[in-house]
Amino acid sequence: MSNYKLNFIIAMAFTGIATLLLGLFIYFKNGRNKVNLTFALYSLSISWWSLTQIGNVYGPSLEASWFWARIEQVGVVFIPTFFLHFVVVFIGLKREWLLRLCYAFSIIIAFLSLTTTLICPRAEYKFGLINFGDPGPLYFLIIVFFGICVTYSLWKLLELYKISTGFKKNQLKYLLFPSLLGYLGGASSFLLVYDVNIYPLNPFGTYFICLYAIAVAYSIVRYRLMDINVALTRAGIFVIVYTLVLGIPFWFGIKTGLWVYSTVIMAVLATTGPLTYSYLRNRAENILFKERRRYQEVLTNLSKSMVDIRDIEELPKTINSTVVDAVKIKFAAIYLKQEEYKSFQLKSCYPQEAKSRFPELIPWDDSLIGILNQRQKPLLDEEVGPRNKIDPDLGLIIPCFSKDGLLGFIVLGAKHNNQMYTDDDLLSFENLSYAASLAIENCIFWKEIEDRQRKARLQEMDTFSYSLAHEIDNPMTIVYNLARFQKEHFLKYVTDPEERKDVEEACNIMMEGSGRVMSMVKAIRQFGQKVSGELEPLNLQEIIEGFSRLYSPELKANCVVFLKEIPEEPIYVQGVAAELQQVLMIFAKNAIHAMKYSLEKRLTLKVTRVNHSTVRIAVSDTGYGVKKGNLQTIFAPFFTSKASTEGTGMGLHNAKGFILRHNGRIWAESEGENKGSAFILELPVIQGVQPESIKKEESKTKWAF
Amino acid sequence: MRQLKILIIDDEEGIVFLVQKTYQKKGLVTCGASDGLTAVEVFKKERPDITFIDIHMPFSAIDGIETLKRIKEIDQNANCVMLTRIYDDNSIARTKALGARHYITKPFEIEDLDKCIDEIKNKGDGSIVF
Repeated sequence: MSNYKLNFIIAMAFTGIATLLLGLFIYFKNGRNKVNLTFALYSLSISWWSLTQIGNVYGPSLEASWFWARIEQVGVVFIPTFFLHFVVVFIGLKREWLLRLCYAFSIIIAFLSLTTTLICPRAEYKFGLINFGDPGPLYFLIIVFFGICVTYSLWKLLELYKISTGFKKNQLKYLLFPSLLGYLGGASSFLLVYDVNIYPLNPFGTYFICLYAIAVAYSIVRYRLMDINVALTRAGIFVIVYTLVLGIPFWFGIKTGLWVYSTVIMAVLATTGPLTYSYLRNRAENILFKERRRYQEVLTNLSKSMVDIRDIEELPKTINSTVVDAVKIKFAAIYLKQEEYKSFQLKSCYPQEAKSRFPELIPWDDSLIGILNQRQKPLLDEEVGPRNKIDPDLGLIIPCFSKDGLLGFIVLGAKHNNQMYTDDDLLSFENLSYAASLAIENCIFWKEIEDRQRKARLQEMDTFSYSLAHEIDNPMTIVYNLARFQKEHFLKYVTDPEERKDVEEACNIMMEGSGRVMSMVKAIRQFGQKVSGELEPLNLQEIIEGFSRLYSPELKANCVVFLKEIPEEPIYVQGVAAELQQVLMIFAKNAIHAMKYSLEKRLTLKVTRVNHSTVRIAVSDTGYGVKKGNLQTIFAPFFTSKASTEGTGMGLHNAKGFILRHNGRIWAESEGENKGSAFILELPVIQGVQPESIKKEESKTKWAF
Repeated sequence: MRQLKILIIDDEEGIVFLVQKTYQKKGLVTCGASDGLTAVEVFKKERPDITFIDIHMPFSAIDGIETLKRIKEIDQNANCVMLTRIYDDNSIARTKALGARHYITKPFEIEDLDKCIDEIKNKGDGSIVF
């Protein structure tokens, strides 16, 4: 056999076997993933082409060569189609019509090649070297199709390569450049079809396809499946140890002819063999996986200690910071199920700077949630899909399940050293997710118990709050009146004018302080009164006064300046005092939240008579305002701009309910974002009310004494 | 012999009055301020031996923590005692880190302040003498 033919066959055989194994391996790794599936098909089509080409070149007769040449074209025409399909899936493009067209073309050409002579009419003995197929009248179509498809695909990969970073760039590098080389080398076979033979491009060009296969295999080992290291190390040590165990006695036997001693040596060595093997294996693996063992231990400890955490706010923080620090990854975030928003909500993110990459809420019907529910185990970045709400940036998404379904999920970023997550890692994180699920349920359970206990305590307190208020009122009345008594009757006995000034000042401070406490207790008592639900005539000014006494401390604590513009003459409305105060509190609470980051924090309550039968109360703030489109929807139930921990989204909805019951109107106004907002309500005014007919709390006290 | 000088900073004027008058009667020199910026100026001028600072002063341009920070910038060895609301562990931790010596939760009694003054007096570096 000539060298030429031999080189050709070796290159083809190697390429065929390598791509066959590669395709099968990728398929069995995860055939359900479309990227893997298309890549496997692509590899198999190359393999098909290489192996049938051997039949073509090595065929014992021209008849046989022709047979193989025609089958070979089936592989050739599918290579560009599968390659394009793989690239489209890998990058995440939408090119369905193009793919359909390519598949249709490939199928037609393959059919024509097998059944007609339009593609490959015969095989010839060429250049006095090899048998090779001859081109039919339509053969050029294959070359044109091949050229366009492959150039387009490579171009798309190159575009992606330019904008990729880190691990993905490396992965692409090992795919893109060897592919380019492989195609240039592989294309040399087309020359032979048209009777062109350029040495050394033919036959050595075909070796480039082998190089391509080796490069891709290397990239898989290096960047995807680190565990191959384990297999190789173990196999290597095994071979070395047992070569020595069997080899030394054998060598001894041959050298000396003393086969009896040789058997004894072998027995001794064979006994120590497994021990030596496992010792060396452990040593080697300890060195190889020192880092991984360390963090897996940390993760195990985390799993153990998680169940002790009872605070649902604390748990995600602990998990995130531990995983980020131990596994040395770029970021971690945790989403938990939130029934009331029908979404998964971001609970914690570490480090804080990564927060911008995560949306606050991910609705239950999002495609990501669908994928997690379907797969139920940790997903790698590429399995999540390229156009998702969350970009784990080459990391992992780990779902946490309980018997009630998906409780939440953990998003982990890439490792700092850009190494891929191994199958071992996935297993560790899967175990972690079970522990996390338990811990989350545990936290929810404890929170429910605590809420219930707290509610019970508050109920308990409710029953004696009235007498408690009285208990505060009593001593305050004494302090107030004694201070006044002292000021009025004893001040005159202080002779030193300096001292007299101090004593008077002290009395004033005592009176002012105790007076403040008394009025606050009164407001609390009024607000806490049992509501009969019946509308009764009320003095609007008193309602607002009560509200400002109750809410001033909260406004002050949040550094909000509170301004009131209220007309002098009394205004009477028909209503329930506690409900109207509650509406004002809802407005004020929203305003405080809206002004959290405002430089100027001002809350203005303005009361105006619209006409003789209507009064308008406007509460305006200097906060972040309301979007035009939301002015209506903010009154819908569960609407909120706050984080879930801060509000229920029910406030304004309840306010609207109260005001409608008062036969009033309620609406919101805002100039737009960051221009503040105003919440306005209008109530019907009642005319001709005698001030005496207004029920007052004080009157009760008077009666009692 | 120099008299001990204390500075009380609180946005509740009644508290400033109370502390100042009480310790004046006990023979100490006192000064007071009801907002952070004024307090820092007073501190610069008066150089008190002990400063009581209310942490929570919402309408002061700088709150108690910032006031403490600025006072410590003026004098690293200033003896500062924080007045806080109950259950305010974060603020307490922050002020401790900034070098506050003690904290007293409100409502307090004058004896609580006395204890702090005594302790600082006894443990002090000797510069404070009655």
